[in-house]
Amino acid sequence: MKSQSLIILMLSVAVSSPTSLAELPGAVTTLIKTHCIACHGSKTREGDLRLDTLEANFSDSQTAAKWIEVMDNLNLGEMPPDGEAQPPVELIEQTTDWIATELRDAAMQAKSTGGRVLMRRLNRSEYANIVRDLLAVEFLPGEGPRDLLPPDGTLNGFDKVSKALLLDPSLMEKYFEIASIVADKAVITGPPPVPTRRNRMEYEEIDGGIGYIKESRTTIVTDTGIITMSQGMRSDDNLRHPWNGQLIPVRGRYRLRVRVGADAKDREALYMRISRGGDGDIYFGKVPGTLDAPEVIEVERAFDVPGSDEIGIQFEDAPPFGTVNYHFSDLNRAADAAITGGDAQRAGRLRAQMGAQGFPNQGREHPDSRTTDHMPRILFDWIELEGPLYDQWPPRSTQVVFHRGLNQSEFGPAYAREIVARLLPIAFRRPVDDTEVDRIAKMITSEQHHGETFPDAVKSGLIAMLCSPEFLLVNESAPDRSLTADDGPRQLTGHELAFRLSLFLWSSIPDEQLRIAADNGELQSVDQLLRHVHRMLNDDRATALVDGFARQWLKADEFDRFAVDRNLYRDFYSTRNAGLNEAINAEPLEFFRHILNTGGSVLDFLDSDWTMANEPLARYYGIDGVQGREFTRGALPADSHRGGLTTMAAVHKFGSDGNRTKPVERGKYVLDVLFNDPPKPPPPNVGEVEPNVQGENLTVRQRLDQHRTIPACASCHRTLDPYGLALENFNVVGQWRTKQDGERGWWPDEAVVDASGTLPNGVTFTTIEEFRAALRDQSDRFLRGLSEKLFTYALGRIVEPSDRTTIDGLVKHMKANNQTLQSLIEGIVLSDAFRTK
Amino acid sequence: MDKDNSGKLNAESGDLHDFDIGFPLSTLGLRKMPNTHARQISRRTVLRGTGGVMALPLLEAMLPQTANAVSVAASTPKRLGLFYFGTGMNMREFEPQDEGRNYTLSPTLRVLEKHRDDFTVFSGTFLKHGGGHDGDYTFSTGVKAKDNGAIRNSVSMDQIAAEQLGRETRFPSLQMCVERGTGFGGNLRTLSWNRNGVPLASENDPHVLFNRLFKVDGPAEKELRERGFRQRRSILDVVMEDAKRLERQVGKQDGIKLDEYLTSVREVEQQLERDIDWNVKPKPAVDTTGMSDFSESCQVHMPAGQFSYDRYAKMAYDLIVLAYVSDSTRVITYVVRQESAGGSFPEFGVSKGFHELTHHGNDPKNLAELAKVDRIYMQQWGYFLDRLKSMKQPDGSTLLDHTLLGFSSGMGIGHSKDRLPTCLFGGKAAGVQHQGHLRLPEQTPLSCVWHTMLDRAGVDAGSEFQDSTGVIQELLA
Repeated sequence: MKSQSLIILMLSVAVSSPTSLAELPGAVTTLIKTHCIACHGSKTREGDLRLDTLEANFSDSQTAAKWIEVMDNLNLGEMPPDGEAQPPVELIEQTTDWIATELRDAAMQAKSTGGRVLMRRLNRSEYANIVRDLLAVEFLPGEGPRDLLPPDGTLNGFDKVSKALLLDPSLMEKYFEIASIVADKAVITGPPPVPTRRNRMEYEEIDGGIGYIKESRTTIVTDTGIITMSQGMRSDDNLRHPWNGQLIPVRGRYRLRVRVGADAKDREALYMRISRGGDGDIYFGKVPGTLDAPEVIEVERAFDVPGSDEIGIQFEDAPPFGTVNYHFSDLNRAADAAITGGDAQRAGRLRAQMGAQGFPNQGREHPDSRTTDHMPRILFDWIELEGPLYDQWPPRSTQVVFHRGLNQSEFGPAYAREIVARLLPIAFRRPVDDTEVDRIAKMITSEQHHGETFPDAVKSGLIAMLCSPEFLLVNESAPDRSLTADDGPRQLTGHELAFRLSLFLWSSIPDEQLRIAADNGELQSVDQLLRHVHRMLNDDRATALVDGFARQWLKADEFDRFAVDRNLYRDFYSTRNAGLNEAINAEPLEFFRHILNTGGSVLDFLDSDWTMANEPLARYYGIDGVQGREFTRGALPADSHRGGLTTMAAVHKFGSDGNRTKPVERGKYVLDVLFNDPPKPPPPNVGEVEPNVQGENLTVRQRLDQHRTIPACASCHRTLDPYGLALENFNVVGQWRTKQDGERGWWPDEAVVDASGTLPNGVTFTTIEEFRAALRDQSDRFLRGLSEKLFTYALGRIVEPSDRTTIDGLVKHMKANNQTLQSLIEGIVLSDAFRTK
Repeated sequence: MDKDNSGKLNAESGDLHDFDIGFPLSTLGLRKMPNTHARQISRRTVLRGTGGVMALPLLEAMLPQTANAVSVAASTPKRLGLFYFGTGMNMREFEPQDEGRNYTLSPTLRVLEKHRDDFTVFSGTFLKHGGGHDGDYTFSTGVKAKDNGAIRNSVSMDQIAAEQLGRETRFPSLQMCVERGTGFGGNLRTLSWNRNGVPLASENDPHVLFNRLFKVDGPAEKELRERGFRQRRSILDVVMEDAKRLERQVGKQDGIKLDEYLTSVREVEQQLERDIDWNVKPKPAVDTTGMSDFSESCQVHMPAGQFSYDRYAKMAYDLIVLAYVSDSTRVITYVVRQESAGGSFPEFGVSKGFHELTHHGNDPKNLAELAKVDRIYMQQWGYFLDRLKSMKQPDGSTLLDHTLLGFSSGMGIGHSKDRLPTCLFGGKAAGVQHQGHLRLPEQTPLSCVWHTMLDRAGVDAGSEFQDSTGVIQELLA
């Protein structure tokens, strides 16, 4: 939020009581008196709208709706109607600005908590992390609480705010269900159902049903494997688990390893796709290694039982090589029929078979394949599947819960009480009293009396723990405190502060060290508090700041909101760009992670000479020397035009509709994300930039200019559009362009991109480099915006006018400390707002 | 709950095996469900006995004793459904040109030709706070729920209906959507909001819903269920103690959140009692011959290649029919297509996502593809109507005649607040007289259609209902 609106807000709070026309700002009164009242006055009331008595009471929805009508009609130029005297543009602007500000303030008040942190429930990421840290329980992907709980509501962009984290009966029901899943997963008393085993298949030894691969003209069998020039590869019985003769005997985690090598010949690289029929891609990317020195691709992930018993490997973009094959047509027809018949699984199996057999690359013998020396090829050495994998047995979680083991003779009320007394303070994030422990311990014993086994009875105790309001709600009303929360701000207790801190940095509960510090009252000391902040930021769990804060701040979940047009941007979908879209989406988050981990300056978000890239992205950006799928820091070449968030392809994709760029959306993104100053919403039904009419070749910018013919609209767009038009040199998929592209296949030479502009502060620019410099010049505005965003995330409430000095202090602290995220985090943690309730 | 009263029910007392209907629920401090089964033959018993049930069971003996035999139609429970097709439609192909009962069906509606006497398509409906991508928030409540990021909604029309129609069914209402959850803050995944303005989460897998409604437990499962009931009760006792204690500590502002918790736990308790109550009766047996196969999960997040939207749509609609016909619930909301997100699938054979298509920019190809997608959805809707009409009553009426289905969107075309694709289906036995294409005055609130549905379903909508200006007189028989 910009400082200006804060001041206006403070003023408007004082005058929020209903007013008559006389109390409106001068410009508004002038406009209404001179141009409106003749028709919308006491006598005529046209359109049932009377403006002489309309009060400035924006918290009343009926009144606010009438003001919106006034604003929209002024903005659209529909009022005063044609033929009447038109008010000066400045007067319209002042009036619409005033209405918009008043509306925003009224909305703010509706969200306001009066600067207090309200009780809220855990969001689903926090729930999942806490269960992990409390019970050491692990879930397969897609099976954990994060996947099972419904997505959380958000307010001001974050899922941490009390008013958005609602609790309804169906969610409560879900909490019971998930708590029982967690308890079942945590307490395991039997032996592992299926033993872990590693099965390997040597490709040169294949026979039986898939032995034909060796006979094909497109393969060469060697001592160590099979080299193929077109054909993919399949697996046979040797890869199946002897427990029940299936590839995947039981749902679980498995490790797949394939040893391969490539001879790309005249190609840059070869690509392959590993898949299991009916189970999607396991790997899609470059073939590593060479024929002489093959390398191993290793993928560890969860597999479920349903699906094919074969692992197929497809040679992507393989050279055409083959003869007429009716088998292919038959398979294709059968697959189509299966889809129509609703049997998607069978269709998937057939398609996988087609893929593995090298279809649809087969056709009539290709002239190029009469001799084969020049043809690229892949060596398949062996394939290995290991699993189901267990870290240990019984799982660590069972040992965490039953700290004295699963010895029958121990089972009884005393052990139950001990278990509860150990876990409950961690789960409730505070010391607990005997009554609380007894309540659950007695319930466990009573379950036993009803015939449940001791471990099962303990599960019930765990469920009660996980469904208690003391667990699900962030409760900052410690029982040992005499003040109630409505008595005004008070210092948090050590345990409350510890939990606020761990929620902020880890989205989880305090660890043992932090708990002990809270027990000993050490967190009241600033030095001790900071020591823990630094310790916690260096812990792996601090990745929660990336997954929680950065992801929401940068709107990373929306990068794919529009799909890139397949016909216009074919290269984007080409095999050599395997993994590119994922890499593009990850770049801004990795950038944040790097700054967080290395103590870099956040101003690099405005402009930088480096970025984070893996091989597919580095290739795309023209960064040399980056190998593999892991992200590393890479220096941007001088001529890359890139540097900072606004030049990242993810942002360009976000600000496009998959077909053409949307400069207004990009501008909105920049203002919201970098400056926390989103523009006011447009009047309704303003529509989109129209496509070119037949025979015209206007660029998006030219059409946008046409679009803004109404002076009142132009005034708002003037502050918004330059931030988006500055990025016009980046197309829908973030590639550099100097000529218009998108929307259609061909553009004339004169359709040149113009990315120049003037920012609202008067700074002009003609190139992206100048624009980046202009952003850097607004670093104070950016630091303020970022502080407000992280403050909202840390406290789970919106920034209020009374936080003004706090935010000022945060910005100052950052500037004195090289603008690091650490300094911002320190500043927030040490602020009164964070340490009081 | 109060310890003194609950002593007998406390897990410690060891006397919890009695799950009979006559269980003294009042001692639990719970609202007991009105026992509608006592002096009448349970319809479920009948459903069970006949095996393949394809007609609405409506023997006279099953009617309330006070009811008149003549009023078969009137006493058949009325069902209500509210459906959302997000991001509007191509209204240029949807809106019929001429009016009245003998109107010419528009290209999009043509697939519903054989049902033309069973529905009315409206022109002129309007969502004052809709348009853009926030229409889903006001769709079922009529208020400006989303205002610059602040969200304050009020009760939705279906929940008003559920309060009155849902008393006698196992589930007061069902929420369905292509995606799970509420979507609160983003594109909504539910149309239902309770009296506190809290959205009710949707389920997205018809298989899961089918099991919840109809899967018959074996003896072992049943025992497990009963153990589960006991366990759940014990746990509820414990967490309620925690909550009571907390209630004494928290301040007024925090109390709001704790209230949400308490309300939710009480609702879970009530549902548990309802489940226990219903557990002694068999779940309704339904015949799914010729219907979808519900034995496997089906939802949009299945691995590529396994998901067919056509199969999914039919499963979802079949499930609704089964839920209505078995009287498991009388009120259903379904977000068929979410606002802004999703909406088109590879099998549709269009070049872009639905939202992308709605940014048509007047490009004829986009508009044609948009209409194509709309037609696919309408075709599946036609399947749904076929199913409802195949369920016959003894008096010749069909399930559709006793069911009021309303659909529309949060926007029209070009993200507008007007020109909504609004239709009302069924309800002929509930006193609806369909008018073909009915042109309402410009900017008639959409809530007038909902108002009419409630009125015909016998639901008292109160003296003021949303922003409705009244029921639509032309539709009243």
